[in-house]
Order: sequence, then structure tokens, then C-alpha cells
Amino acid sequence: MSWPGFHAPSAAWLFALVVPLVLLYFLKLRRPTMKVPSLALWRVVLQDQRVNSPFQRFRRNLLLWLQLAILCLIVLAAMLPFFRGVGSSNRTVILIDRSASMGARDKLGGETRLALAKERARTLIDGLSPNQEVALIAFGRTARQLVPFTNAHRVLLRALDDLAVEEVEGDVVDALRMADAMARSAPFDRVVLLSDGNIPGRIDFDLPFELDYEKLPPAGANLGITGLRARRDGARGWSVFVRVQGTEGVDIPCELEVRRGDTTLFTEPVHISDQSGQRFVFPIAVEGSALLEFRLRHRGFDSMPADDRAYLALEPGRPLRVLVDRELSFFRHGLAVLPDLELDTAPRASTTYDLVLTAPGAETPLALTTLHAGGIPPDLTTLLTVETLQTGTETVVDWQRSSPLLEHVELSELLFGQRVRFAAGVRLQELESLRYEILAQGSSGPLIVAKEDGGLLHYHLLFDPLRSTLPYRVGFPILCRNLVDQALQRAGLLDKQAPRTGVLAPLPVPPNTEFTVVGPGGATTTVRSDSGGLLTGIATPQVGPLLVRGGGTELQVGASLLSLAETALRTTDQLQMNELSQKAVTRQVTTDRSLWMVLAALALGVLLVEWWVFQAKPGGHVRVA
Amino acid sequence: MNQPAQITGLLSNQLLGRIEQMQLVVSRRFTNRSRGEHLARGGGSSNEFRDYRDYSAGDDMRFVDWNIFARLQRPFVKLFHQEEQLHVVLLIDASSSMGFEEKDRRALELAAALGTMALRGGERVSVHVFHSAGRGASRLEPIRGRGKRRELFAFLENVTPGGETTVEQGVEALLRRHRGRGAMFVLSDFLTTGDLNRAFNMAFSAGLVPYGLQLLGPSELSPELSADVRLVDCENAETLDVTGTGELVRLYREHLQALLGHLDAFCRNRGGQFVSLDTALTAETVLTDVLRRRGWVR
Repeated sequence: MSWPGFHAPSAAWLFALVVPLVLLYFLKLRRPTMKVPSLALWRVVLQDQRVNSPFQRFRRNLLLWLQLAILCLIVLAAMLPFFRGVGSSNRTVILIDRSASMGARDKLGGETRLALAKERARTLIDGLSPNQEVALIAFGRTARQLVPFTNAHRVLLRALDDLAVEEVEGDVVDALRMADAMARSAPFDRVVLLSDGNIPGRIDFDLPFELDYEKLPPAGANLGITGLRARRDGARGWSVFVRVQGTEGVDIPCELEVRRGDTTLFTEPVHISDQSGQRFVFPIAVEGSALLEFRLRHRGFDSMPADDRAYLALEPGRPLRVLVDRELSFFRHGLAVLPDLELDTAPRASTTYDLVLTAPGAETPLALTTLHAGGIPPDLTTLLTVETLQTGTETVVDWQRSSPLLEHVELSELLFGQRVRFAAGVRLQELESLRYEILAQGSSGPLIVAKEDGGLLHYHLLFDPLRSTLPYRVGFPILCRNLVDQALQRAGLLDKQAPRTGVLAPLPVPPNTEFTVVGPGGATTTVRSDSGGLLTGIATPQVGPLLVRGGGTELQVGASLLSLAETALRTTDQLQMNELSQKAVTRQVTTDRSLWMVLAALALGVLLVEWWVFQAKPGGHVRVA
Repeated sequence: MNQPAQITGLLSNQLLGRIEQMQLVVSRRFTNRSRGEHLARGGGSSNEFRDYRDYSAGDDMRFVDWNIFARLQRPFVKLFHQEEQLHVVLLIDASSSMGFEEKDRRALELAAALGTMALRGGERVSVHVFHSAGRGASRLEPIRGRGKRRELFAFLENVTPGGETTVEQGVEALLRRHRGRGAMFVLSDFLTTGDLNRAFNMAFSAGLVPYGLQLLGPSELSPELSADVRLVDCENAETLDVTGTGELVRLYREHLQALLGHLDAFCRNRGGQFVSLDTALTAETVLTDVLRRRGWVR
């Protein structure tokens, strides 16, 4: 048994009121007098009362004892006593999973997991003591702080009421990072994670605080679309691949319907036999841009509707638009032999390039894929230096053979007339912290690096290719092919992956133009394309089609969940963090049980007893004539 | 039209008129022993037939029923009730405790009414009022006849409560001077700790059948106490600190009820009666309703 704590122990000084109470009781000089005809009967009554009373001394001052009891109970209530709940603390961060799986229900008409999580959070908030504070963080693909540390129940509850499911894949690490960042500015004791358990069992995160993982009851069976991509098949044709998967042992009769606008193109029955689900291939020919809708029509209860729809925008094929700087003639020659390319050596107005190969100092329009041939990126100038070798050559020590750019490219025999070095005291981790990936490593530093930035892929050849044997090696045309394939892929000309919910990949549009994006449910936002002709940062928290309109251009895109983790509703009972970090504890957190109301009720009860003892009239009467 | 003058301040003329029509009913003690050649002093003048018995030698021939003898040829002697003149003693408690809630007033009113009925019935009436022990009991010597009622009223109107004489002291003081058999009406609140049993025994032995009229005020029947209160005895100013709880009041009621039961038993065991009266009741109600229903008057 644990002893109760006190939220306001300073109120104990009120116990000093016992002294004046006792003094006033015993020193009160004017006891009300009452004249009676005779004391004879009263004396007999008192004597009888004392003889029959087991606590004569106590009863002699019963009023004093009752008053002392009331005072003590009131003072104890003022000290705000409480029994500490499991996992209770003064400052708590509540992480609420709002990913797509939290929209799943356990039965037809049942509550969503998010509704249960909100209910639990409400319980925790309702049980807050005056000196306890809570901060709310909700996370889907990204985390967002709903309310900073506060004790204001109304604010917290209003934030909870406004919380809705985002039909995106969850990322608990982002929420943990946000909590970690909060800990630096506002220290707290504990983090409570409310989730359906659809999170990775092992999390690569150093947990600097105690984490109480509260898993919500599991949802029902679910079946959904987990994969949707298309590969070009001929000049106007596409092969569309769809994968339908579900929870373990799911058996929901349903059909997969493929629609373009109001026209149903295909309807296929779905039979899930194992964990790998069922894969469909649909040959689809498109004349113009078309947004295909893939919909599962269930004939039974399906717990999560977010994954029952998926969207894929297809468009007729076109040549890859490539801009190659004039100085990079060897690249131009290398690319010229490849089919379906539109090569420019100088940027044309109102043209959005899919691939740009640029030399140091040249004008570089934004493109989904860019190759910087030579030179150090501006953000690495303090970390790396390029040294032109007067004698000797530099060679590649190692490279990532599985990288899309260097696949099947042999670099071991390459010679370089320049050497890239780390600046003094600079280590490899500093490049990685700037999100650079080293693709090829020389003897003193990196030679080829890559960076994904805002949906744009940048390859940097840190050396001058003309001072290397790269253009003369067999690997060079392969590298060019890989580069074009990568650009085709990213431009959606070779292979098209259905966009997932979260943030839409950059869309190539006319530059510096304002666009209106009409999302699912008619939600409208306005965004402006950058000077490179890319529309970025379009949030798609819900599954559905989007219409991007502006500058005489109209694009139809769609956002789909396409997450096996969310669709399969796999749950984790125990979270495993990094070895040295604190452990996440799976348990139900309870709030502190406040006792002041009990004590106040007791005080009122004693007061009523006092009233009853001293004021209540006994029943019956003396029988006289 | 002028209103007729009040005969007494204790009772209205109208009530007095009704009382004149009423008769006191008390169990009389018949004393056949006093029958003989010499009439008892103050004995009754008319005899009431009671029974027959066989004649035995020495019986007074004047009481032989000759009609019976003529029919049965056997002598029978007629027996008669011999009515003794009743002495009604009104013993009034005029201690300080009677000053509460018009107990003294009601006692004097009832005494005046009972005395009037007794005088109307031809009984001898004497009044004893006991005040403080030091002053002793004031006394109205026995009077008789309806014409003496003004004397009775005048005596009663001059009674003022005070002192702390107990009932038993009052009875003892009465018996020291009283002679004659009859009925003793004690009008008191009976809130005493003395040996009332002994006093009543003495009175009974002296030929007085005790009739108790207890007068209690509403606050005595249902006391209302605040939490802590100091009770002050109005007679001797003694104090008693009590914590007025519901339980205490309940106990008080139980004890008061028990006291009423004891007093009733005291009177009944000695051939008398007892009644406890709430002073909230008017004298008229007591006389015409309570006492009539209980058979004290008719």
C-alpha cells in the first residue's frame, strides 16, 4: 500500500486552527443558559446517559471532537491529497497515433481506434491534478503538437475534439523526436503513447525519457489496396499492377473495380489466400491524361475504408526532356544515342526539364533529377576541398554498386586528376547530417554524392570529369543510361507509382504560377509553383483525387494510402528501442486518484452527523392527557 | 348592557356556571365501624341499603326486616352504607418551578374548580399551599357549603409561587395539621427527587386517598436544546451543563414517561388516580373533557 501524496502540502499550516478551536471551545464564557423548572429529572437523565455510554470521556466533549474532525478533514482536503496512479507524473506528453489504421473499427458501427484513444486521453486529462500538465502531440506521417504543456482542461479537450484520422502511414519516430525536442525546452517526466500498435516493433531511436505504451484494443478484419503502380507498355499503353492484401486470415468477399471517371473498365473478384495477397494486372491504354480509380467493393464488414480506394494518374508517353550544359559535350554525346530524349544545350523558356546536367557556374533550372558535374555544392564548401594533383592520380576506393546511378558501372579502374579531401577535423558524419549520401569514396574523401531535397534528386560529381578517365571508360554510357532511367522513373515516364498520402511529390507545371488544389471533400488550397516549374508541398492527408488548376493547366492526381503496415493492422505489443536507451513500458497509465472530494464529503458527513446528533428531534412523545 | 361582575379572576362566570352543574367523583372510604349507638361526628344523615344478613343475637332489632320475617319466618338484618362526610383536601404546589408556562395559574384554576364542585356537593374543603420550606405551607381551614366558595376563591387568588418546597415536604406539612378522611388532590409538576412513596403512604394512612394532577408545560414535555447549554434550576439556581443531543432528549422523554408511570402507580395503589396535564390545555378543556373522560367528574 502506498501512502497518499499531497499536491498542496503548504495548506498543512491550517492545522494550527486546532489551537484556537480548542481554546474557543473551552474558554467560551457565555454558554447559553436555559432556565428549567427543575434539574431533578435532567440529573437522572445525565447519570443514565453516562452510565450507558461506552465512551463517557469522549462523549463529554462530543461537540469538540466532531468540530476537530471536521476541521482536520477540511484541512486535509485543502492539502489536496491523492493516491498516485500508475505512470502518473507532473508533466506528461501524450502521443496520439492518428494514422490511417486508427480509423479502423472493431465491428460494424463500432468506434474507431482514434475515438478510443481520445477517450483514454480524456480520462487522463480529467484526472489531472492542479499541478499536473499535459501536452498533446498527434502523429501520422509527421508529428504535430496540438497543445503545449497546460492544465487547461478545456483547451486540451477542444484539441482532442478537433483531432481526426489522417489517412497516412504512421511514423512514431517523428513523434518521439518532437517529444525529445520538447524535453529540451520544457522538461517532463513521462510520455504516454496511445496507439493501436500498428508501429514498428523495433524503433531506431534513443529514448531519453520513460515511455508508457498503451495499446488500444485491436480492430476487425481488413482488406485493402497496398500496391499500385504502372509500367509503360508501348507508346500509349500501360500495364497497371494492383496488390490487394489484408489482415491475417481475412476472408471478406469483395471485388476490385477499376474506373476511369464514370466508366468501369474492369471488375475482378478478390480471393485472398495467403499473406502475400492477390496481385492484379490491368492493361490500360490512355489517349490523354486519365485518373484511374481502383476501388474494393466489400460484401461484408471491412474495418478500415481508407485503403479501399487508390488512384493513379496516367498520361500518354512523351520524350524525356534533358538539358545538358554546353561544356558537358561528352555527356551530350553519351545521351544522344539513347532513344526518346529531347536534348537542349541551353534552357528554353516555359520548358520544364526532367533531367538537367550542369557544370559549375552554369545556369541550372530546377528539375526532378539533376547531375552536377564538377564542383563542390555550396553547403559543402566548408567541409570539402578539391585539390588538383600535379603528380599521381586519385582512384575510387569503394562505391555503392546497388545505387541506381552506379548500377553495373565499374569504377575501379578510373583515374582522377583531382583529389577531394575532407577539411581538417571534418568527419563523414557531418556530410550525412546534411543528408548527403556518398556513392563513391576516394582515398581522401568522397567523389560522388547524392542528395534528395524537396523531392528533387541531386547527383554531385565532386571531381572535374574532364580531369578523369570517366568519359573514356565503358562504364560511362552505362552511367548515362542509369541517369536517364532514373530521370524517366522520377518523371513518371517509365514507371509510375501511385502517389501516397502525406505530401505529394513535386509536380512539373509552368513556373511562377498560382494553382488551386481541390482535394477530397472539396478542400481547397492555393499554392505557387517555383521558378523551376515545380509545384511542391501539397499536403494530402486524405485518400482521394486532387484537381490542380491554374495558368491554363489542369492536372488530375490522386493520393492513396498504399501501406501494407496500415492495411494489415499488424500490432506490436512491446516496443524495442535502441539498446542503451530507456525501455518503453507497455501498461495502462492511470491518473492520480484525488482524495479531496472524499475528504470534503466526509467533512460534510460529519457535519450532518453533528447536526443530527445535536439538532435532530427524536421521534415519539411523552403521553400526557 | 352591563356585563355581570366576575366572581373570581380564576374562572369565568360561564365556566363557573358549568362547574356548578358538575359533581366530583371520588372513591369514598366507607367506615361501617363507626355505625352504632353513637353516631359518628359529622356522619351522614341518610343510609343507603347495601345487603341482608342473618340475624344474630345482640343485633339491633330496629334493623330487622319484618316483611322478610313475615314471609320466611326467619329474621334478617338490613345492612346500610353509612356515608361519611368527605374531606376534600387541595394540596397546591406553589414552588418556583410552578411559575413556568402558567403551571401555577392552571393549578389554581383547577383547584378553584375542584373546590367549587366539592363545596357544591356538601363536602368539607381545605386548601394547603406549600411555598418555600422556610415559610411553610399556608392553609385554608376546612370550609363547607356553597356559600364559602368566595372564601375559597379569595384564598386562591392570593397565592403566589416561590420557594423550593418539594411535594413530599408539602404532604408532610399537610398531615401535621390535617384531621379527617377524604381525598387529597395534589396539584404539582411532581418534578422532585424526594421520597414521594413515603409521603403518599403517610397520607393514605391518615385516610386521604391521593389524587395527582401533574401540570407540565410544553417545554417540559418536549424540550428543545441547542448544542451546549447550561440548565439553571429556577428554584435554587443550581446549574447543570448538558450537550443537547437528540439522544439526550430521547432519554429525557423516556425518564419523564417513566416518572408518569410511577406517579400513576403511586396513586392507583392507594385507591386514587393520576393524570398528567399539558398546560397548553385550557382549564375548561381539562374539566369538561379530560377529567370527565377519566371519570373524575361528571
